[in-house]
Amino acid sequence: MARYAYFVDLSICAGCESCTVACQNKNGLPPEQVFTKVHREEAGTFPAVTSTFVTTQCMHCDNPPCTEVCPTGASYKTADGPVVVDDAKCIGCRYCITACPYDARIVDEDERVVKKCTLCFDRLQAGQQPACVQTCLTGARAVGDLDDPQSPIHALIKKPNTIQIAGTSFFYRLPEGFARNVLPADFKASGATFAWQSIFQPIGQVMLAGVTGALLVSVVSNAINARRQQQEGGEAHGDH
Amino acid sequence: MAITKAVLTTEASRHEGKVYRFNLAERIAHWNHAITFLVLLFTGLGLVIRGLSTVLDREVLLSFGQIHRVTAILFTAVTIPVLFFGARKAAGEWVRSSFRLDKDDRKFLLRFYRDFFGLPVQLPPQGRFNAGEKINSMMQIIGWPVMVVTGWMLVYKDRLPQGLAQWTIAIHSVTALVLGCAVLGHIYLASIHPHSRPGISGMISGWVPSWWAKGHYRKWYDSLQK
Repeated sequence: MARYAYFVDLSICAGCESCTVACQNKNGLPPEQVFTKVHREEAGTFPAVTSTFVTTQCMHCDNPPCTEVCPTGASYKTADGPVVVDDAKCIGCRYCITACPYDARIVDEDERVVKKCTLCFDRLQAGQQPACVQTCLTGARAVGDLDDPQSPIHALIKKPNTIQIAGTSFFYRLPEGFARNVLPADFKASGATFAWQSIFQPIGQVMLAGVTGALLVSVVSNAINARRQQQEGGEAHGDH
Repeated sequence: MAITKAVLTTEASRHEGKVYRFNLAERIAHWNHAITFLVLLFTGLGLVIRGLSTVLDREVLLSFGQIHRVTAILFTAVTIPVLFFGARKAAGEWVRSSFRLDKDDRKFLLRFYRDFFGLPVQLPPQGRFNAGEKINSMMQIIGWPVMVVTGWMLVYKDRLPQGLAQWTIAIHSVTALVLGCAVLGHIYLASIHPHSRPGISGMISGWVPSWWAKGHYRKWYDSLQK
């Protein structure tokens, strides 16, 4: 079992978007759908302005809300960390899209399933690098196992200006002059999702089970009552 | 003339010992609401009870989604117009009376569990609807717009702000479960429970046995005799 972490060194990201294209190619996505996005952020005041690219994708949260709300268990977090979708179970309800804090999921209208970055889990299992890591021209991207002391990921995440997005598997190294706020926000559980999953739904299910139980008791007690009355009626009839 | 008289006589004898409880529009509205609600509950249950997906195939659950959306149109659009055009006065009285629980109603609610479980009990006299039916009516009158509004919002959930979409799902799901509980109880009482089931004919032919109406809705029955 591994504990995969993802590192992006934004100080050397060239913004070439080859990660985006390699990911689309690997996952058979149409041009308008992407799992890995690249956008530009600026800092400073004219004329002293500087810019950087920021890449985003599924952050593979420690406690992913997308898997909590999935009614069929199609979205799940693997023991190694990556969050994946089982197409055979997905019913396209899009609850996961509603729950995702990082806007990391898309809908495949033809197959009626939701798709997302899986950290190329199939490739990781085969001992290969994810498509985005393998294709990155500047070597800005890396994936490694935090439980493997030999993994180069340990040295990477110790580099200066490296920030972990709390509650996720992602580490970013910021270029000089940029603040934390250009990066995706730390993971924060949604109050609505918590209320729905941990309060409303269990209470509703208990109520449904309780009512069903009460009905069954009523059926039995009324049947016993009817039989007793019948017997009493029979005895009374016999007395006459 | 003789034929008309004969028909009227047959009609009268057919309804002998019965009282008229629900007109055609009330019955159509009831059954539209009931059937569409049950279909919606059943086809939506897979989204709130996780275990169902292990029993039902993906294709079945996908078709449930389609059925859910089509049925929602009937659930949304039929009941109110039918009541408006066919039973405006009765529906208005039903809504008003549903939110008024008098002393007898409160007494009824405290004692009803005994009748429910077949224990001997003297229930207080009730109006056209008993207090239990009033509670069910309140839940349906409040629950119906909640389900309709949140349900149609969910059809377009991709266009809603994320927090709003999350709360909409939560409210839609929990309201469905609460209404599901009420409906389970209602169906049981109307079709299985030995004391109340004779009343189901009121929602089929419109007529119920007089002895039953007298026993269950004494205040309403007495008002009919005036």
